[in-house]
Amino acid sequence: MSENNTVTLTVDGKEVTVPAGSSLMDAATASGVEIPRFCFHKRLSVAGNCRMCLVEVEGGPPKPTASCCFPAGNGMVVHTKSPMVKEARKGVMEFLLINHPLDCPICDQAGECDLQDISVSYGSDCSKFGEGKRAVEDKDIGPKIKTVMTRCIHCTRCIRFATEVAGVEEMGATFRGENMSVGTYVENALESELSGNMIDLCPVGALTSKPYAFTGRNWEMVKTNSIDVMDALGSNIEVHSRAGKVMRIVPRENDSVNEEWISDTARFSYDGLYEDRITSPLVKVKSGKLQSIGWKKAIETVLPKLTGKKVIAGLAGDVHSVEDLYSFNAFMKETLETPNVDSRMGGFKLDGEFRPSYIMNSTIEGVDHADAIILVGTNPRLEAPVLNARIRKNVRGRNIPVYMVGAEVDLTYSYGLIGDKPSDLEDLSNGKSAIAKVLKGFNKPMIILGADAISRSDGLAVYKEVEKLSDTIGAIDAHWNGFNILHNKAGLVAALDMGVTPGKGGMDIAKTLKALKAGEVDTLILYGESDAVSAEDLKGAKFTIYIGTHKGTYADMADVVLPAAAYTEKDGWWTNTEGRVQESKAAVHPLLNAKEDWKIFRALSGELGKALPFDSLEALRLKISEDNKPYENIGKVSSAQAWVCVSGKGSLLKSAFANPVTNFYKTNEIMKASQVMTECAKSVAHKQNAMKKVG
Amino acid sequence: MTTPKLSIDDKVFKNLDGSGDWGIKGYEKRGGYKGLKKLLKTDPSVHIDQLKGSALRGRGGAGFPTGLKWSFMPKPDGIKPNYLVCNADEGEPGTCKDRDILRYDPHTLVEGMIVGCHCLGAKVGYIYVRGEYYDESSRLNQAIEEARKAGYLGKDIQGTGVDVEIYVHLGAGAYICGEETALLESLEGKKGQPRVKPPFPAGYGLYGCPTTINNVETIAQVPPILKKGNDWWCQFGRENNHGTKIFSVSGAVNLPGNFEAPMSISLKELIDEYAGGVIGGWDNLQAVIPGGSSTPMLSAANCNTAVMDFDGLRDLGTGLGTAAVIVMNKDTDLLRVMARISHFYKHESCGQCTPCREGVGWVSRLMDRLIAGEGTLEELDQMYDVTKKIEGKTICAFADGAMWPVQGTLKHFRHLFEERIKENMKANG
Amino acid sequence: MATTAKKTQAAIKMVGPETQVRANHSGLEFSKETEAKIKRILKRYPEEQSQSALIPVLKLAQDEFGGWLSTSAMQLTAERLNLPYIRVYEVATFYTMFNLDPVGKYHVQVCTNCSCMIRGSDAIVEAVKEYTGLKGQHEISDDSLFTLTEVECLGACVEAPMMQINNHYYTKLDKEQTLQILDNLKKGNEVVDATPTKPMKDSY
Repeated sequence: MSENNTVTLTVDGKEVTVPAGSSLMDAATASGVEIPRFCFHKRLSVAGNCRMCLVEVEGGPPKPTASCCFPAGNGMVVHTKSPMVKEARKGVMEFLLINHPLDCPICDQAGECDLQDISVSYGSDCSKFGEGKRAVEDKDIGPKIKTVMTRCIHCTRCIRFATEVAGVEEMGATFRGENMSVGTYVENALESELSGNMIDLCPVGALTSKPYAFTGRNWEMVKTNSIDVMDALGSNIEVHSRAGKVMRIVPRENDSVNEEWISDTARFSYDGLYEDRITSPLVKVKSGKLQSIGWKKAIETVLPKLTGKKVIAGLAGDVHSVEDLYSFNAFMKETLETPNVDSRMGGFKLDGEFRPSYIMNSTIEGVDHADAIILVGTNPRLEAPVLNARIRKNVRGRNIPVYMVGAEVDLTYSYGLIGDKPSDLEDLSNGKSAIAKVLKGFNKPMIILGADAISRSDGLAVYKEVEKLSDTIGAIDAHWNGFNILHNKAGLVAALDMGVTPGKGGMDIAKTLKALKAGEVDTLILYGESDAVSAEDLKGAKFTIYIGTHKGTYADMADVVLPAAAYTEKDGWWTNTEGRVQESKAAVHPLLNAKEDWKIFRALSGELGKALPFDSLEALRLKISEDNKPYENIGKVSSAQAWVCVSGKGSLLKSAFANPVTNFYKTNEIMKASQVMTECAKSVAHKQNAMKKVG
Repeated sequence: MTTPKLSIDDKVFKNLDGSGDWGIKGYEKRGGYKGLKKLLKTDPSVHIDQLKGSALRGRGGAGFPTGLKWSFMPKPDGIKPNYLVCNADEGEPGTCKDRDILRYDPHTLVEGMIVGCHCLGAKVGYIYVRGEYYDESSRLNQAIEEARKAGYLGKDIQGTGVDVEIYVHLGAGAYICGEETALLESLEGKKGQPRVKPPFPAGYGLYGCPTTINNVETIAQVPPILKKGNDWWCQFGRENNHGTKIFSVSGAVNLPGNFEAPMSISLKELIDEYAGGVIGGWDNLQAVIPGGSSTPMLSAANCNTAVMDFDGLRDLGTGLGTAAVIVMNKDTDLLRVMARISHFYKHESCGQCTPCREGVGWVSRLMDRLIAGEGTLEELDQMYDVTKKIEGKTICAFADGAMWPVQGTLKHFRHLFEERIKENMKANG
Repeated sequence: MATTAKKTQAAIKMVGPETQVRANHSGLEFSKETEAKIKRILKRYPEEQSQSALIPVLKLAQDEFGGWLSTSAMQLTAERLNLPYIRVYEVATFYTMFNLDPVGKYHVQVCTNCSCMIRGSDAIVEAVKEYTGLKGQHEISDDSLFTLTEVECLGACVEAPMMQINNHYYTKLDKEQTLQILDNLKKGNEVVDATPTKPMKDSY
């Protein structure tokens, strides 16, 4: 950094050099001084309204300065602990508390409340305030967030989040002066996929989690690092559990992936971990109902169906960890020696041969560097809300253009709609249209192709067309790979990495479905659910084994059901849409008689006399990383590879690209079981109806 | 020493009393728009230098040197336009000078806007008029229409190549919009909540473009200064406080009104010679608020010597503010006036900053109890303490303006509070 | 780069929260006259800054739909200017000239701030109460004609005491004059006007 790009100043007697444009608060942070704050948040615009961060600047006017919004200048002498500062902050704290209910004993925020924490340093042990306290009516803003508005300190973080990050201008501060009140427009459920983040942002207990209300105290929680699996972004989360039960989920910060946001599905679907769960092995009895049996019995029932000359097919659903997929694949191909394995139940047309063909090569952070974004057949707002927020951030902050070939949807920012048909894509990749010429002008264009667009029957042709487009507009060179697939299923990248695709001569999903219809399958092993295939289409095998977590469609049609562990109940690696492998720790034990998935396959293989070559998770992981280069570097994305054209054929269909997600709150078995998600889905439908009815 | 009254020639607002024709004919007859062409042909930097030399200080309350303020504006860069915004959101209790300019002499402002836009490189100027001034804004609109028809406004004004458009924007009732950045927010269609500074409006103002905001009176005074020269202007008032000024004298005087007088006039002279004297005579004077409700009261003793300019009143621990002189004689319940002012600030706080949102209401309630005699002597100190905790801690100067008069009243009239508290204690045994 | 991008964006359809055509949910419509005024107002601001028209248009909505802003009137305004509802609601609740509840045909706003108080605004408030039978503020008189509000400084301090009824100022009042003005309004007579600033042209 050259001299002009930095400023040097003194904070509490210590010299510190910070980038030009830094605030006094940044400078203080850099020099190791923490400044108390309520309204300031590094990922939101600066409001400067809480006045808690006041500091003294020598030579300035004889009054304290708000450090969050005052730019650091060369030679400034800043005091953060002077009598003036202490008095000022004490005053501000007193004002914050005079109308605050001080109801910490019954407040869910207690223990993780900024107001509580900072009042330890700046609060007084008695109040001189002798007037009546203000009471504010609580607002119903939907099933996710509980409001206790009397606690609100008007920092406006929630408003800024909704407006700036989530892109839904639904929160605001109405009335003025001491009557100013934070809320939505005439009591309206918030229609945002990211609204839960306001709970974390709220520095007090005004906005708390509705599902979590009064169920636990922050200090009782055991906190476990985990990875979200509700979409394929791999958002870093912390699972909070108490006495072996998941109590809530909050985000962990990871600038490369989710910054510090998570989607509402990640945050609020955990009640689905305890609804409709399969808690012990089940077997279908004569009445057609499923009855619980012990593991031993269940395995005894299954074994004859897996031996002898049989047509066996295996399908893996949408949400599986790396280890589970590896062991499933090994079990199918090595133990059962069947090539009939597929994990692409949605019809994804690529296999795992060339990794860059099915991952987000620019990486999620690449959005911050791209100079244009071209979306093809994807709706990132519903497929990966946190990624969409990052795109929005760059649209707002860096003014980058976004183009779309796909269904017209509200992305919360404006974009140029090129068309929704494959032919529009063709026009683009031919490089002749006016827009194509503009796209050629970008240095770092980021093409984001939705996984569902390659799952159409013309998926391979779509892929080839986008590959051509990358070439036409120069999206791939030595320094930048702008070819990206956005997945929406947490397990698919790992499945492709692990080769959970048909072996030589094996049946893929389409062929398996056909064979099932024709009654040609003896034993079908269904491992987990997929949103893409209905149970009805999976009927037809002579014997069906379902290995999974939840009752419901697939389990109901199975002859034997084996209970597996949910993502919070096992250590696992998860590979996100960028191909980043991240580790998730077990927060709780598998529910009742459920078992970690890989152990089930290992056990079955042993019973069948062809034991898989690993006895522990460590051994299993060693096998995986030996076979797969990207799995040597956990947490990182793998380095770039030279581009190889994937062979493909077929022609494009005429039909338009569809909106990939139609029911955001219900895309996997956990969400389907979650009552909170049901409420959310209802509230969206209700709001849409209500708005229609007003007219 | 008496200050000679201004001759009609020396007045900037020759029709401030409304006796003549407010329209363009009347204005032109009074010398208006004469020499406009020359001003528009002269380079803005020449004008700004002259303004700096004139020591014209903003008439909206803060008294910031206008020439210096205008010199902060960058030259238009061809991408972002420059704007001049006139602050006609007059709302400080006691202040009503701009109203009379708008309705009786609106062309002084129109001409000022034309010249101001030229000086600042702005092609568009907005005049933000408080929403309640409905009739006044209609007058102003008519004046703008007249000026446009006469070729003083629009494209290539009088062949000078200068383009200026002026639009009137009506507010909707919020004192805080008189704060310049709150005014910009309001003009952008938002709540009038002051912005954090820096950045200052000259760099990032209306719609994020370079913007200068000035009071009606200030803008209207610019053309006469530029036309008549600094010598003429500087003959009025003391060093650093030059020029003429409109004083709004209201309250307990015999002839309340808006008077244009030389700066640095004595308060006594202003009240006696212009406003018909205190009701009941000078000896019946109790106190004076010299510059609108944000300025601390002067005790009767101080009124004898007070000089009405920025520095003179600052030396007395108060300020010239908007030069809105509110006179209270001995029949006035001074404490009730103070409580009413506190109530005003509670009502007008925008609610953004913690100390102001929470504290101003606290002070107002304390004040209500204290003047009802329900408070205690300790609470007088407590009230002072609260005002100190609010002062200087907020984004804008609103809270300071709300607290200074309370502090001033406690300083000069503490005995009145004490008497009332003691009376009450006696009455209640 | 920025300029080329802009060019094409003009050539293709732009989709965004702010460009989506909003359905009319309010069930109200602006009159032709108001619509013409809105168009005139919008011309004063840069094209992409239509939010600037919000305050004037809300005032027009208030004038058109009974002197107050119902939820529907706010929604109509939001839809007309393509703004999020909450942004309109924030503004409507921030400024005192917007009435969020119904008011009488004549909204009598008496300034009771210091200059007016010193010169006897108490008597004006009492006179209004006496004539209209109103006991407190923000009520509507039995004949639906009057609402009384004590307001902050209206900026006519040298003509104190004073009041504003709807758009117009009445200054230098005393009790008799106040009663006379109210009586004239009630009877529909020409109102004696102390202020020589009659509106000659619409302020919007």
